[in-house]
Amino acid sequence: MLFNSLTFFLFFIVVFFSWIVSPIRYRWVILLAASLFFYGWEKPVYVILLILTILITYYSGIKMDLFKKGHVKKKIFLYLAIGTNLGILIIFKYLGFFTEIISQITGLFAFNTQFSPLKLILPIGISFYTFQSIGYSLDVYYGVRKSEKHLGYFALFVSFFPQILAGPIGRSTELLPQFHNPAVFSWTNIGYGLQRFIWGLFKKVVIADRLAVYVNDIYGNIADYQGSVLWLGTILYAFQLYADFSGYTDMAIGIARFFGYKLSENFNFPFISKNVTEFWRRWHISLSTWLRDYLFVPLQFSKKKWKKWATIYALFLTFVICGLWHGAKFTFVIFGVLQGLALAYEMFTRDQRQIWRKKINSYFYNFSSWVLTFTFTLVSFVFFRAENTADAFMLLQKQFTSFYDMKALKNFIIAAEGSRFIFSLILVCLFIVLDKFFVNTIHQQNKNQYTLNILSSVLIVIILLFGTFGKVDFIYFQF
Amino acid sequence: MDNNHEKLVQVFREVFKNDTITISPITTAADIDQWDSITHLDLITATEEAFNIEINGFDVMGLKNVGDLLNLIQRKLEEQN
Amino acid sequence: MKIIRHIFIALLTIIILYVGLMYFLKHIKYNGRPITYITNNYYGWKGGDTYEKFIEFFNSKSYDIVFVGSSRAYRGYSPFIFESSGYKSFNLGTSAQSIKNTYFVIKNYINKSNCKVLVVDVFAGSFKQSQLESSSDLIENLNNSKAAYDIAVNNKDIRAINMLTLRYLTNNDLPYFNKTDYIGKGYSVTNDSLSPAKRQIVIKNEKVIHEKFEIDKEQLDYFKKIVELCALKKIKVVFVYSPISYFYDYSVHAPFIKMIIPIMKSYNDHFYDFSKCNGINTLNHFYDDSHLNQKGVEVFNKVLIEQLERDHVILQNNESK
Repeated sequence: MLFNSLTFFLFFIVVFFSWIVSPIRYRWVILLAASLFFYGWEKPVYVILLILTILITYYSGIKMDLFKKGHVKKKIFLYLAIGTNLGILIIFKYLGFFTEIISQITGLFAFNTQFSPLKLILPIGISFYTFQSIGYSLDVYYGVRKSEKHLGYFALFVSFFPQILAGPIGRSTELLPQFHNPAVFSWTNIGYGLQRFIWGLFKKVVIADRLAVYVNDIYGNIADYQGSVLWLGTILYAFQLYADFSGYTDMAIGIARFFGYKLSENFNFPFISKNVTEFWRRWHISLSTWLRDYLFVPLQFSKKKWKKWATIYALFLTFVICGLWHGAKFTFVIFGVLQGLALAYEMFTRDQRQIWRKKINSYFYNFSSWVLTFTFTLVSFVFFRAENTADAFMLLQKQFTSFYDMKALKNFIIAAEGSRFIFSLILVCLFIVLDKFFVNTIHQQNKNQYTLNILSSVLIVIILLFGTFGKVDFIYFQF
Repeated sequence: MDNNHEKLVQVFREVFKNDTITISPITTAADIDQWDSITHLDLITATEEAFNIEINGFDVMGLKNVGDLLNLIQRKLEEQN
Repeated sequence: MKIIRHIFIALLTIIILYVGLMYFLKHIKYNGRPITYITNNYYGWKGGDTYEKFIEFFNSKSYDIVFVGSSRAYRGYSPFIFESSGYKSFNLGTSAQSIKNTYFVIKNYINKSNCKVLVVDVFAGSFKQSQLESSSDLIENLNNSKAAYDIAVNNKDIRAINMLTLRYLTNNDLPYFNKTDYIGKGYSVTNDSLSPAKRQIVIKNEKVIHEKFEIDKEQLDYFKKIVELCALKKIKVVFVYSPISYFYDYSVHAPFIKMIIPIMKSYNDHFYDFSKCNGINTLNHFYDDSHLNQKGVEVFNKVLIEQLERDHVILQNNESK
């Protein structure tokens, strides 16, 4: 069920009114039922998988509490919980990939095995809720929080419908306490939720889906286009991806706020980053902090004696996994390795860059840092978007050889109905200008009530008139 | 306790190469420019050396601010005696 | 109270801005056309055969035969040929007209007194999930506002509402364009034959692209509604599958027929399958993948008239007078 669909609209109205009229103590029942229904909408059988995850993670959490730090049994129950979640993730998401690699290797040695790669349909949202459950188990194991005793709240924590399909990945320490203190109906929450939702909807239907038409055309015909057009496609894709995913996040945060729940923020203007380290603090924050806390730091400390190399080791492993998390494809591995390389470079040059910074004019330094970082981001996104590595390398090769071909660029724009293309760019500019302004204004609700009201109304009209309607999935649903 | 605090300030100044850094129990990574997950390891190793204690991955997990780190140091020192 | 004030402000802003922006976009021109068309590609523009035929339809109070359907209808049934056999007729087919939109055309334009026999052209393609193309054309060009409103609202799509707003804003505008092959009575004529490249495919007997048999449930529901509506309005209706070319994937034909026949039987309506019509061949009688040329129409229409007369659907020359 897409947030930007009539089905969801009706679903939400029913859920919200049932939530209002039911007694506060039992509101979680409404939300849990709604969440399971929402998750099962497209493919009901996968609810079984979700319930399995919930029950095993819940049970192991309670068991882990019974044993002291370092006790073998505590570890066994941690492994049970993580094993279940990772097992589900590996079977449904990566088995096809691994069997394919194996079949390629066996093919290499000319073993004539009839080994056909296994392909299962990926249950939607699986990468998100399994990571969220693993985070919870580790929190309990490390003693960051006690296990959750209330099965209902716990089930809701894993399956809460605004966030189950594409995050933000919630933390047990932030989300679970909120379920224990159910918020009551408030107009302020509704106002905030509505404004945030409208903003996300604008990003999705006016920006992302409109850009998708151009991006799909360019990335679908890489061989036919010159480097200059491919650069355009890559830049538009960056904005499409950002608008699509952060738009989804805004809608998720808005919907949760209707019920009084605060989900964590996922983006903080990533494209203004002046280095890659900063980029990862601004891009998909709930994933990058998850990886930092549950993967990077443990890896780093497990090889503490290696000093700097421990960090390098942890960095690469974390980012290869980060790449693979997005999908079982070599392109994502390359995406991860590139990020790891950039971060390692930044780590080694940290002191040196401080010295440069002091020597060079600060505007120039900042500007060139931004250009370099954004260019790197664009190049790495090529691997994010391209169908396969061959496509990605062909595209990059063209990007760096025929980037000056302005005639090809002009022809592309004319073919894309020049005036409509320029109109789309104007909308993208509007998005860039409003991005920071809207988010800042929305965080000061009380001061700006009338501004926000009018701005949201204007956005609604823009959505109605300039939106791209029809079913277009969110990009992050595939991860 | 105050002694530990003083010592830790020195560690911070050394690791982050900034002599003006001051810390309080509620200081977090967000308050200090250079303090991120990459320099975190340097900080912890320097702390280990300064106080002659050992901090493992388990201990690091719960750390949210300088106060938590001071408590951890205190606990480790007590465990040694 | 404060909430009510906020809701009021929001609604007012939305309505004023929506209408204002629409008005602005329509009145600012670029290359001679309003810039509305720049903002999105789905708007239909006033003009062409659709605009003309619905006005022309009212030139006469009553017809012996009226045709409805897609371009296969307005290019496949010539009222001029029917008239030379003595039947006053008119073609209300429009581009890509889906079954759903055919229903609204019948509902708002056809009744017992202005139409003795209604011919609905059907083929598997008109049962696919409805695209906006047909609605866009009709909402802008129908001269009956109620019909345009029906189509827009039943599309359950924000875009259709935008089109309806544009319709009201362009109500007094002259048509923007004409179609050259439109010759009146709702009929468009083509004398061309297949392009050389396509002729080669037919001559060499190459394989055609396989189509999937897709029937949209909503379209099927509207098909049944058409049958019921005609029964209710007491309009005599026949359904015709007009000739298809070599390029049409015949594998979708059988399941389609299997689906249609039971519905026809339960209402005792006539269904004529001329998909393989005697005397029609792709090389001489088609001008593209799915449309007959003038020669093809002449052959097919004669066969159809004979068949309808034989079954007494239409009464032979002068008998009615």
